[in-house]
Amino acid sequence: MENFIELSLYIAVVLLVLIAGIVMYRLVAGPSIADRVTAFDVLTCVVIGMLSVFAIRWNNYLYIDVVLTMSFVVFMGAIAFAYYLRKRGRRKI
Amino acid sequence: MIASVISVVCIYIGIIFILISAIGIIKMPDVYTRMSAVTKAVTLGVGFILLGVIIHFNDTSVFLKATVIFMFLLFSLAVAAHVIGLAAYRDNTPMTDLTFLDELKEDENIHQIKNEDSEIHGK
Repeated sequence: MENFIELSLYIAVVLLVLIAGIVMYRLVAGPSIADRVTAFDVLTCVVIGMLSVFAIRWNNYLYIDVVLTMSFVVFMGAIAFAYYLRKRGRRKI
Repeated sequence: MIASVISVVCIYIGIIFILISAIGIIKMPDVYTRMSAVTKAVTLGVGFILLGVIIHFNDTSVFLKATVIFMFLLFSLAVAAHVIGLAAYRDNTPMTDLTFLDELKEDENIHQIKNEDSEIHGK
């Protein structure tokens, strides 16, 4: 049973890596900047899920602190990107 | 033992939701629809994964931290999607051809007419 849970956690990490690959396609090929910012948000959320799975796998709750920091980074990154995107749009008009 | 199985099931439900949003970010035709597809499903998926963490550790501090993370993501992803969508609209990002209603444009036209009126009356 222990082996089964361990194996299913490994498969969960592999699935999350696959999802990160799918999102990476949009990050590279997105036609506009807003696409890339959205893809980056999703990528950070995938990393948050991966760190949570690691916390369960190694039975170490210090990973949760890392996740807490990461969730702040998502918000700050998106707001900063939107600020400069709006500035650019205003200058063009 | 049962707690571990329940936490693994919660993690898999969360991964399914994140996978749905990843399919949405590939298949949707437009920036705005992509953003709408991504934000909600990712929030729910991360919430389920954090629920799995809470069930596995069964500890007060982990419960509090995970709740704070989920609340913060719930607010920040929605606000970020709104701000980025508005910035993309200001940046004249093209919409898909399936769009048939642009209420923000109509509202801004009305406000512009009102502002011009007030300027004229002010003079």
